[in-house]
Amino acid sequence: MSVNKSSAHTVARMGLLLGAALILSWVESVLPFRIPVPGVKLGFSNIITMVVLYQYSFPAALLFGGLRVLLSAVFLGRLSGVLFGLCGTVLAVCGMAVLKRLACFSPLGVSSAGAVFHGIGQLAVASVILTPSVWSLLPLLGISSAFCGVVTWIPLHALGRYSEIFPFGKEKSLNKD
Amino acid sequence: MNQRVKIWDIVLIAALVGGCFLLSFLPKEQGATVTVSVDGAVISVIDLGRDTVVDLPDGGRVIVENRTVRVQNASCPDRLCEKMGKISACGEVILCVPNRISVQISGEGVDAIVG
Repeated sequence: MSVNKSSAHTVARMGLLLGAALILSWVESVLPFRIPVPGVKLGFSNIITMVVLYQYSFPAALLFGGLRVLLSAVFLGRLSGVLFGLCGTVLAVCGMAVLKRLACFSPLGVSSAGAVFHGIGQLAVASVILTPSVWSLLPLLGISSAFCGVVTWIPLHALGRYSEIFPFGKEKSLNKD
Repeated sequence: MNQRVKIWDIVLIAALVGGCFLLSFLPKEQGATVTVSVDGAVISVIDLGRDTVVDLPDGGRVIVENRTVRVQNASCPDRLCEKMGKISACGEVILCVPNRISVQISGEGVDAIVG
Protein backbone atom coordinates (compact mmCIF):
# COMPACT_ATOMS: atom_id res chain seq x y z
CA MET A 1 0.00 0.00 0.00
CA SER A 2 2.82 2.35 -0.74
CA VAL A 3 0.87 4.43 -3.17
CA ASN A 4 2.79 7.64 -2.69
CA LYS A 5 6.20 6.01 -2.60
CA SER A 6 6.23 5.08 -6.27
CA SER A 7 5.95 8.14 -8.46
CA ALA A 8 5.41 6.10 -11.63
CA HIS A 9 2.50 4.42 -9.96
CA THR A 10 1.06 7.71 -8.83
CA VAL A 11 1.42 9.23 -12.30
CA ALA A 12 -0.28 6.22 -13.88
CA ARG A 13 -3.16 6.35 -11.41
CA MET A 14 -3.59 10.07 -11.83
CA GLY A 15 -3.63 9.55 -15.60
CA LEU A 16 -6.41 6.99 -15.22
CA LEU A 17 -8.38 9.29 -12.97
CA LEU A 18 -7.87 12.18 -15.38
CA GLY A 19 -9.16 10.01 -18.21
CA ALA A 20 -12.21 9.10 -16.14
CA ALA A 21 -12.87 12.77 -15.35
CA LEU A 22 -12.60 13.71 -19.03
CA ILE A 23 -15.05 10.96 -19.97
CA LEU A 24 -17.48 12.27 -17.35
CA SER A 25 -17.08 15.80 -18.77
CA TRP A 26 -17.88 14.49 -22.20
CA VAL A 27 -20.89 12.47 -21.00
CA GLU A 28 -22.21 15.56 -19.30
CA SER A 29 -21.74 17.67 -22.42
CA VAL A 30 -23.88 15.32 -24.53
CA LEU A 31 -26.71 14.99 -22.02
CA PRO A 32 -29.81 16.44 -23.64
CA PHE A 33 -30.86 18.59 -20.69
CA ARG A 34 -29.23 21.66 -19.24
CA ILE A 35 -29.85 23.52 -16.05
CA PRO A 36 -31.21 26.88 -17.21
CA VAL A 37 -28.79 28.97 -15.18
CA PRO A 38 -25.67 30.23 -16.94
CA GLY A 39 -22.54 28.49 -15.77
CA VAL A 40 -24.28 25.75 -13.81
CA LYS A 41 -23.56 22.15 -14.75
CA LEU A 42 -24.00 18.98 -12.77
CA GLY A 43 -20.23 18.72 -12.57
CA PHE A 44 -19.78 14.96 -12.58
CA SER A 45 -16.05 15.33 -13.05
CA ASN A 46 -15.90 16.92 -9.62
CA ILE A 47 -16.48 13.39 -8.32
CA ILE A 48 -13.01 12.50 -9.54
CA THR A 49 -11.50 15.73 -8.25
CA MET A 50 -12.91 14.80 -4.83
CA VAL A 51 -11.37 11.33 -5.11
CA VAL A 52 -7.99 12.93 -5.81
CA LEU A 53 -8.44 15.39 -2.95
CA TYR A 54 -9.32 12.63 -0.48
CA GLN A 55 -6.80 10.02 -1.69
CA TYR A 56 -3.88 12.28 -2.50
CA SER A 57 -3.47 15.86 -1.44
CA PHE A 58 -4.63 19.41 -1.96
CA PRO A 59 -1.85 20.33 -4.46
CA ALA A 60 -2.54 17.15 -6.41
CA ALA A 61 -6.25 18.01 -6.59
CA LEU A 62 -5.46 21.57 -7.67
CA LEU A 63 -3.19 20.35 -10.47
CA PHE A 64 -5.70 17.68 -11.40
CA GLY A 65 -8.59 20.16 -11.58
CA GLY A 66 -6.59 22.60 -13.69
CA LEU A 67 -5.48 19.91 -16.13
CA ARG A 68 -8.99 18.57 -16.38
CA VAL A 69 -10.41 21.98 -17.28
CA LEU A 70 -7.73 22.63 -19.90
CA LEU A 71 -7.94 19.19 -21.48
CA SER A 72 -11.73 19.02 -21.53
CA ALA A 73 -11.80 22.47 -23.15
CA VAL A 74 -9.45 21.19 -25.85
CA PHE A 75 -11.28 17.90 -26.38
CA LEU A 76 -14.79 19.37 -26.27
CA GLY A 77 -13.82 22.45 -28.29
CA ARG A 78 -14.98 24.94 -25.69
CA LEU A 79 -12.00 27.16 -25.32
CA SER A 80 -14.17 30.18 -24.56
CA GLY A 81 -15.00 28.69 -21.20
CA VAL A 82 -11.46 27.95 -20.02
CA LEU A 83 -11.04 31.02 -17.87
CA PHE A 84 -14.39 30.47 -16.17
CA GLY A 85 -13.64 26.82 -15.60
CA LEU A 86 -10.13 27.44 -14.27
CA CYS A 87 -11.15 30.12 -11.80
CA GLY A 88 -14.16 28.10 -10.69
CA THR A 89 -12.11 24.95 -10.23
CA VAL A 90 -9.28 26.64 -8.35
CA LEU A 91 -11.73 28.26 -5.94
CA ALA A 92 -13.69 25.02 -5.58
CA VAL A 93 -10.61 22.90 -4.82
CA CYS A 94 -9.31 25.48 -2.32
CA GLY A 95 -12.71 25.71 -0.62
CA MET A 96 -13.14 21.96 -0.52
CA ALA A 97 -9.65 21.46 0.91
CA VAL A 98 -10.40 23.92 3.71
CA LEU A 99 -13.75 22.29 4.52
CA LYS A 100 -12.16 18.83 4.44
CA ARG A 101 -9.49 20.06 6.85
CA LEU A 102 -12.13 21.35 9.24
CA ALA A 103 -13.10 17.70 9.68
CA CYS A 104 -16.64 18.42 10.76
CA PHE A 105 -17.99 17.86 7.26
CA SER A 106 -18.36 14.62 5.34
CA PRO A 107 -17.89 14.56 1.57
CA LEU A 108 -21.57 15.52 1.20
CA GLY A 109 -21.04 19.00 2.61
CA VAL A 110 -17.64 19.34 0.93
CA SER A 111 -19.08 18.43 -2.48
CA SER A 112 -22.05 20.76 -2.16
CA ALA A 113 -20.04 23.72 -0.92
CA GLY A 114 -17.37 22.98 -3.55
CA ALA A 115 -19.99 23.34 -6.27
CA VAL A 116 -21.08 26.68 -4.81
CA PHE A 117 -17.43 27.85 -4.71
CA HIS A 118 -17.10 26.80 -8.34
CA GLY A 119 -20.06 28.99 -9.24
CA ILE A 120 -18.66 31.94 -7.28
CA GLY A 121 -15.32 31.60 -9.10
CA GLN A 122 -17.10 31.66 -12.44
CA LEU A 123 -19.10 34.71 -11.42
CA ALA A 124 -15.89 36.45 -10.40
CA VAL A 125 -14.47 35.94 -13.90
CA ALA A 126 -17.75 37.00 -15.50
CA SER A 127 -17.91 40.13 -13.36
CA VAL A 128 -14.46 41.14 -14.60
CA ILE A 129 -14.75 40.34 -18.30
CA LEU A 130 -18.48 40.97 -18.75
CA THR A 131 -20.19 43.18 -16.19
CA PRO A 132 -20.29 43.39 -12.38
CA SER A 133 -24.08 42.97 -12.55
CA VAL A 134 -23.60 39.23 -12.94
CA TRP A 135 -23.51 39.02 -9.14
CA SER A 136 -27.30 39.38 -9.28
CA LEU A 137 -27.28 35.76 -10.49
CA LEU A 138 -25.61 34.61 -7.26
CA PRO A 139 -28.77 33.46 -5.42
CA LEU A 140 -30.01 31.35 -8.33
CA LEU A 141 -26.54 30.05 -9.08
CA GLY A 142 -25.82 29.27 -5.44
CA ILE A 143 -28.99 27.27 -4.89
CA SER A 144 -28.67 25.29 -8.12
CA SER A 145 -24.96 24.65 -7.50
CA ALA A 146 -25.60 23.40 -3.97
CA PHE A 147 -28.19 21.04 -5.43
CA CYS A 148 -25.74 19.82 -8.12
CA GLY A 149 -23.10 19.23 -5.46
CA VAL A 150 -25.51 16.98 -3.58
CA VAL A 151 -26.38 15.10 -6.79
CA THR A 152 -22.72 14.43 -7.61
CA TRP A 153 -22.10 13.29 -4.06
CA ILE A 154 -24.39 10.27 -4.63
CA PRO A 155 -22.08 8.44 -7.09
CA LEU A 156 -19.09 9.53 -5.00
CA HIS A 157 -20.61 7.90 -1.95
CA ALA A 158 -21.35 4.77 -3.95
CA LEU A 159 -17.77 4.73 -5.22
CA GLY A 160 -16.53 4.70 -1.65
CA ARG A 161 -18.96 2.04 -0.54
CA TYR A 162 -18.12 -0.34 -3.36
CA SER A 163 -14.53 0.69 -3.61
CA GLU A 164 -13.27 -2.88 -3.55
CA ILE A 165 -14.69 -3.53 -7.03
CA PHE A 166 -13.27 -0.31 -8.47
CA PRO A 167 -9.57 -0.22 -9.25
CA PHE A 168 -9.63 3.41 -8.08
CA GLY A 169 -10.33 2.64 -4.49
CA LYS A 170 -7.91 -0.15 -3.76
CA GLU A 171 -4.75 1.64 -2.87
CA LYS A 172 -5.85 3.60 0.11
CA SER A 173 -9.01 2.99 2.00
CA LEU A 174 -11.61 5.52 1.03
CA ASN A 175 -13.32 4.99 4.32
CA LYS A 176 -10.68 6.83 6.23
CA ASP A 177 -10.27 10.54 6.10
CA MET B 1 -15.56 8.81 0.54
CA ASN B 2 -17.83 6.51 2.43
CA GLN B 3 -17.93 8.62 5.54
CA ARG B 4 -21.25 8.94 7.28
CA VAL B 5 -23.15 12.11 6.61
CA LYS B 6 -22.72 14.45 9.53
CA ILE B 7 -25.15 16.91 10.98
CA TRP B 8 -22.83 19.74 9.96
CA ASP B 9 -23.24 18.76 6.31
CA ILE B 10 -26.95 19.42 6.58
CA VAL B 11 -26.26 22.67 8.44
CA LEU B 12 -23.78 23.76 5.76
CA ILE B 13 -26.09 22.99 2.85
CA ALA B 14 -29.04 24.59 4.62
CA ALA B 15 -26.92 27.69 5.27
CA LEU B 16 -25.83 27.90 1.62
CA VAL B 17 -29.33 27.46 0.25
CA GLY B 18 -30.89 29.66 2.92
CA GLY B 19 -28.33 32.40 2.39
CA CYS B 20 -28.94 32.40 -1.36
CA PHE B 21 -32.68 32.35 -0.76
CA LEU B 22 -32.43 35.40 1.49
CA LEU B 23 -30.21 37.20 -1.02
CA SER B 24 -32.84 36.73 -3.68
CA PHE B 25 -35.34 38.58 -1.51
CA LEU B 26 -33.28 41.73 -1.32
CA PRO B 27 -35.50 44.58 -2.46
CA LYS B 28 -34.97 45.42 -6.10
CA GLU B 29 -35.28 48.84 -7.58
CA GLN B 30 -37.36 49.44 -10.62
CA GLY B 31 -35.06 49.31 -13.63
CA ALA B 32 -34.72 52.28 -15.94
CA THR B 33 -31.99 51.63 -18.47
CA VAL B 34 -30.87 48.65 -20.53
CA THR B 35 -27.16 48.39 -21.34
CA VAL B 36 -26.05 45.92 -24.02
CA SER B 37 -22.34 45.06 -24.00
CA VAL B 38 -20.23 42.81 -26.19
CA ASP B 39 -16.83 41.77 -24.86
CA GLY B 40 -17.09 44.37 -22.12
CA ALA B 41 -17.68 47.25 -24.54
CA VAL B 42 -21.07 48.96 -24.41
CA ILE B 43 -22.76 48.81 -27.81
CA SER B 44 -26.16 50.15 -26.89
CA VAL B 45 -27.94 51.95 -24.06
CA ILE B 46 -31.73 51.90 -24.22
CA ASP B 47 -34.52 53.38 -22.14
CA LEU B 48 -36.45 50.49 -20.61
CA GLY B 49 -39.74 52.31 -21.16
CA ARG B 50 -39.31 52.49 -24.92
CA ASP B 51 -40.16 49.33 -26.87
CA THR B 52 -37.33 48.59 -29.25
CA VAL B 53 -35.13 45.91 -30.81
CA VAL B 54 -31.33 45.91 -30.81
CA ASP B 55 -29.47 43.69 -33.26
CA LEU B 56 -26.47 41.84 -31.85
CA PRO B 57 -23.30 41.17 -33.83
CA ASP B 58 -23.89 37.41 -33.65
CA GLY B 59 -27.30 37.70 -35.31
CA GLY B 60 -29.36 37.63 -32.13
CA ARG B 61 -31.69 40.37 -31.01
CA VAL B 62 -32.36 42.12 -27.73
CA ILE B 63 -36.04 42.93 -27.43
CA VAL B 64 -37.34 45.60 -25.08
CA GLU B 65 -41.08 45.30 -24.61
CA ASN B 66 -43.48 46.33 -21.84
CA ARG B 67 -40.60 47.26 -19.51
CA THR B 68 -39.05 43.80 -19.87
CA VAL B 69 -35.98 42.70 -21.81
CA ARG B 70 -35.27 39.38 -23.47
CA VAL B 71 -32.83 37.92 -25.97
CA GLN B 72 -34.07 36.15 -29.07
CA ASN B 73 -32.48 34.24 -31.94
CA ALA B 74 -29.13 33.80 -30.23
CA SER B 75 -26.38 31.98 -32.11
CA CYS B 76 -24.78 30.26 -29.13
CA PRO B 77 -25.05 26.47 -28.87
CA ASP B 78 -26.98 26.21 -25.60
CA ARG B 79 -29.20 29.30 -26.01
CA LEU B 80 -29.18 29.88 -22.28
CA CYS B 81 -29.63 33.59 -22.86
CA GLU B 82 -33.02 32.89 -24.44
CA LYS B 83 -33.96 30.45 -21.71
CA MET B 84 -33.18 33.04 -19.03
CA GLY B 85 -36.38 34.71 -20.18
CA LYS B 86 -37.40 38.25 -19.41
CA ILE B 87 -35.70 40.57 -16.96
CA SER B 88 -37.08 43.83 -15.68
CA ALA B 89 -35.63 44.82 -12.29
CA CYS B 90 -32.57 46.92 -11.62
CA GLY B 91 -29.38 44.85 -11.44
CA GLU B 92 -30.75 41.90 -13.35
CA VAL B 93 -28.67 40.61 -16.20
CA ILE B 94 -28.83 38.23 -19.17
CA LEU B 95 -25.55 36.65 -20.18
CA CYS B 96 -24.36 34.88 -23.26
CA VAL B 97 -21.00 33.51 -22.22
CA PRO B 98 -19.96 31.94 -25.56
CA ASN B 99 -20.58 35.22 -27.40
CA ARG B 100 -19.44 37.45 -24.52
CA ILE B 101 -22.70 39.37 -24.58
CA SER B 102 -24.28 40.88 -21.52
CA VAL B 103 -27.59 42.69 -21.22
CA GLN B 104 -28.07 44.44 -17.92
CA ILE B 105 -30.61 46.72 -16.36
CA SER B 106 -29.60 49.64 -14.23
CA GLY B 107 -31.58 52.09 -12.19
CA GLU B 108 -30.24 55.36 -13.48
CA GLY B 109 -31.59 57.08 -16.56
CA VAL B 110 -29.91 56.90 -19.95
CA ASP B 111 -28.18 60.27 -19.42
CA ALA B 112 -26.52 59.13 -16.21
CA ILE B 113 -24.78 56.26 -17.97
CA VAL B 114 -23.82 57.95 -21.20
CA GLY B 115 -22.73 61.15 -19.49
